Amino acid sequence: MDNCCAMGTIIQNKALTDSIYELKLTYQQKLDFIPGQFVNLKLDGFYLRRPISVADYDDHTLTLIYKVVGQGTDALSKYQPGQTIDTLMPLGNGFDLSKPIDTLIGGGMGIAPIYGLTKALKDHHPLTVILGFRNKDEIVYLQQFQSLGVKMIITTDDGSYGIQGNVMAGIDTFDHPIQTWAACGPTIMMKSLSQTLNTHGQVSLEARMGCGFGGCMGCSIQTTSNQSKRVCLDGPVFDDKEVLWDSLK
Amino acid sequence: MGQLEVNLSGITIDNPIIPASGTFGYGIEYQRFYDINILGAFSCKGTTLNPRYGNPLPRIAECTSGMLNAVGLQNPGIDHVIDVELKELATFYHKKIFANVSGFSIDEYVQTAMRFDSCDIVGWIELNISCPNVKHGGLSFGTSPDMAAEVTNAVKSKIHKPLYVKLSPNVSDIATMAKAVENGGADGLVVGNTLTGARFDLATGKPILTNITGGLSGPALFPIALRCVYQCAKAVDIPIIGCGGITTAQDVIEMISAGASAVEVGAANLVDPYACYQLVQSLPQWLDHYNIESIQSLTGRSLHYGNE
Repeated sequence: MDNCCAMGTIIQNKALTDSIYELKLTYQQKLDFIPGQFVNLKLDGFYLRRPISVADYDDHTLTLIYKVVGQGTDALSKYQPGQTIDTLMPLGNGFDLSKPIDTLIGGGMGIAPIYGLTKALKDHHPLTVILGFRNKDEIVYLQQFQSLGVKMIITTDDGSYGIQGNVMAGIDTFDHPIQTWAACGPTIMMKSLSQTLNTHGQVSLEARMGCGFGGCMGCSIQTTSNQSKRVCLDGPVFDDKEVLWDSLK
Repeated sequence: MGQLEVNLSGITIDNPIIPASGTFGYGIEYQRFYDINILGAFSCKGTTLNPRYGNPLPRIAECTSGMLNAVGLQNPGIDHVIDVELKELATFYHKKIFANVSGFSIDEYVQTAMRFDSCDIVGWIELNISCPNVKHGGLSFGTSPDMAAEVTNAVKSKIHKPLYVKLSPNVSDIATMAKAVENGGADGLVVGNTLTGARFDLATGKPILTNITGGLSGPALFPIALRCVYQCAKAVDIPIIGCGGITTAQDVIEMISAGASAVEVGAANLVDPYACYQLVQSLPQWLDHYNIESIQSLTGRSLHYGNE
């Protein structure tokens, strides 16, 4: 799918919890995304677009999961079915599906691209999915993941559901070493994964962006190769060993 | 000259629409959205002698009708720009660019400008004397008339291509700056750049930008840019490229009325990558709407009003 600006019509904008929403938009053109890619939404009254990771899609319908964290996402949560949203898409490089991935790790809203990735990989080889949430009330998409028929491990920080602790506690239950992995979640989570697991991993980063397509250098990170890379265009998915973790906050 | 054509120091461009430095990379990112040969020209990412990572993240904040950036002149350095970026650009772009030059000493400005001066694809050298994002000890060149004139003169004496100096609006008297760089030998001006701003997190009070301050751009800046262009146009005889918050074809008409010969468009590209494409497409119908014969005839039509 070529980069384009398209109008999406909302068919559903449903609260999954107090602050987490599932947004479904329909487009005239045929959609095609690689898991890990994102879209950039133009909301009324806000100057910059809002970059949001793609959770799922089919031919003409896009599914996004987002959490209300500021004024922009709060405004988005008030959009009603039938309203349209100017959408720039598809953006960024998604997960490299040609590389083996056996363990998928999602933390908080990071579960969104992990869902799409699980869906894309599940028929090819056995997968283990670890999802970490703060508490039971913040668990979303559990049924959707379960319906994919993969091995699931759920952790909550307070132990109100599944294993108590963060995703690292989930990894500790493994009786075999993790060979290859992909993760999306808080920077601190991906940093500890990268520093704990010596094997190859792909991480999907988040950043405040200006444009979302490489025009402004607003989201550039430093890498171990001493070259800066743009989260929006060169990422958001990077090889975990490429990221200079200490330079990220 | 056609309705949209403009002559900037001996080079005629097809239309007055020029994407601004720092919002258009080296052109490559936008070619995926449209054929950028439709533009009058574009101004490349501010380039320094050596590679720079720039400021730590976050570098971007938002505000009503605009945004703040504190990118801090991230660029791969002049060698890489010439050997890689401009070579790739030349495979699909057949017009001229404004080569935006930044520096931290007069010598660095001169060296970088001289390298660009030998590139065929470079039509004009654009001297960024005002980037407010980079902390470097002393005063920025763009806030002192003497220093601005000195760096202008030093670069001008070593290059052959026309030299445009991009002024900062972060001064109390921009007309004095304009006059100083005109006397320093500038062939034209770009008026202006971002205006310094800041934002703070409501929950914690922490600055949104790690750099604390950032440059304001977007429509919020537009009336300030109009005022700057008007004041500069009253003060100098060299051509002015108006820059600051331009989003629509009507904005282009207003900016050129205020004294600009052409315009640079910045933040609008970041919100809508097709922004400049659409400006080029829609400008003729808006000129017709206001019975304006040509862009050239429009330049400075507002200048005879008022005594400033």
